[in-house]
Amino acid sequence: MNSGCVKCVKYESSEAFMEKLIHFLRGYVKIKVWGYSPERFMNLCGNRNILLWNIENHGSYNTVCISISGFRQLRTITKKTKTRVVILEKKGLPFLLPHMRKRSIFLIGLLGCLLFLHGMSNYIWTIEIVGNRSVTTDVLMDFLAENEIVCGSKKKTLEIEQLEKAIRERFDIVTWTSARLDGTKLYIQIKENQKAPPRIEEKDGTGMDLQATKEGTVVSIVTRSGVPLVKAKDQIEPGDILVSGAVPIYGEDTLVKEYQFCRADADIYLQCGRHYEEKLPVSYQYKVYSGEEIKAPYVRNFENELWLPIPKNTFARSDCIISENRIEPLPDFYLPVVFGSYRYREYELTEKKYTPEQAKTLCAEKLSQIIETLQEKGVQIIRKNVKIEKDSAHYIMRADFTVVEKTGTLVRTKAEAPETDELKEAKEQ
Amino acid sequence: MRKKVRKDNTYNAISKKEQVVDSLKLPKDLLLGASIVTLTGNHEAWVENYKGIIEYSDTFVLLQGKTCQICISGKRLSIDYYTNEDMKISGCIECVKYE
Repeated sequence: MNSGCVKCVKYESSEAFMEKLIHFLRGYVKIKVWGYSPERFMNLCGNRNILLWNIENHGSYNTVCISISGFRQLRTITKKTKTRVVILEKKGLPFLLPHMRKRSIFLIGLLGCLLFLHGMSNYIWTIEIVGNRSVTTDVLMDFLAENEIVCGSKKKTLEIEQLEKAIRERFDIVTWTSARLDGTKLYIQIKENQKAPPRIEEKDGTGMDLQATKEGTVVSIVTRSGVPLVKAKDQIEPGDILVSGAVPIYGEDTLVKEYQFCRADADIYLQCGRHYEEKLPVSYQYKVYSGEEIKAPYVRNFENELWLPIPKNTFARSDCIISENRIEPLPDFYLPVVFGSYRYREYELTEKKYTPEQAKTLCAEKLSQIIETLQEKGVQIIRKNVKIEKDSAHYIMRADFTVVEKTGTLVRTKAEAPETDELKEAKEQ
Repeated sequence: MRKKVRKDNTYNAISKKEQVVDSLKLPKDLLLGASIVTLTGNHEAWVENYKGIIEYSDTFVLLQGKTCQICISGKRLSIDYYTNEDMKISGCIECVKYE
């Protein structure tokens, strides 16, 4: 209901704006009508299809807006109705044009500006990429540049469907893409898969094994495909094959006749140790800002700075903050010119030492960060042992965790199909 | 006595016309000459199917419809636009009366 009302209001306001614009372009006059029968004057205007608007009563007289052509037809009507008419205001473009003739340079400039804006609107001036996490914006920009889509490319040459397809094909992790042009802005939305697909390509006729990457004890194993080679409570070493992708098929003589290859898939949880070491320097430097600042504005067109920053940075040590503003004459209509400024803030370096309490709190913060990242990866922490030691220049935090985590990476299976009698015979021949 | 009969006849004729218009689902404003008054809150009124303005002041607009007179009264009444077919009245509308 509410949205409907909003739409109504929007529609009406745009309609009213268009009406005003048309009246302005055609030109109109505001007149004062008084006399014997102003109502009859309005009725006769209505009968002769003369539009009247903004009719207001001011007691002894009425004010009415009327088009220029309508005003020229009023003579007979005023005679008939015994009313008198006086022009109060003249409004619109036809009344402005004679004045404009004296300002021809202004008109040429205005026209040139409109032509410039129209010309500029045929190009892409900004590219915005949203939703990418593992594929960085730089990588995507390089890919777009390879496909000749850069700031300054023509909008006509851009084929959106092909671009979306090309992004999906080039980046396996990207599962969904949407590209659209908003004014002069190319807006690309991307959705990535939670987990990158394994890089190893599976060939026909070869299987994939699951191999251990860490040393530890197997807590549990659930195999979905393949032959499990370890069981719970087994001790394993890195490089051990946990699940084989070669499923043996035995013959009548209980010997392996052949292997059926598959992609090993299993949930194997391993109890293992993880060691972390963090070094924190005893003394550290921090910035003390003096409060002095230098501001240097600049204008940039793509990578070319048009005006070099003046005044220059004279501080020995300073931070530089760059702020940029793109010219956007209309919403989503960007131009390739950027206004910005360098802000240099002066500072001095001061040396300080961490107290044991400060070091302890910092180490505790780092430890909680480590635990948080482990939990995000789905690692279950069973035991932890943390020690903070101090040598001449550092506080050293050593953390040993006993954890249960998922293990196993895919490798190509090494098992080969045993030679059959027929093959042996063929080789001998 | 005669007069009474005539009145009844006209009443019957109108009702029959209305019945025909109703049953054929024809637009009433066209065939019966009924005026259409659309009000938005108490500050805007659109009027269609009228013959003309009889009287206009900032507190009172009297319109001649095809079958009756429409009297719109209020405060600070102004006519946003006026054509042969429709008009828009805005202001603080207090009363719409058919006479």
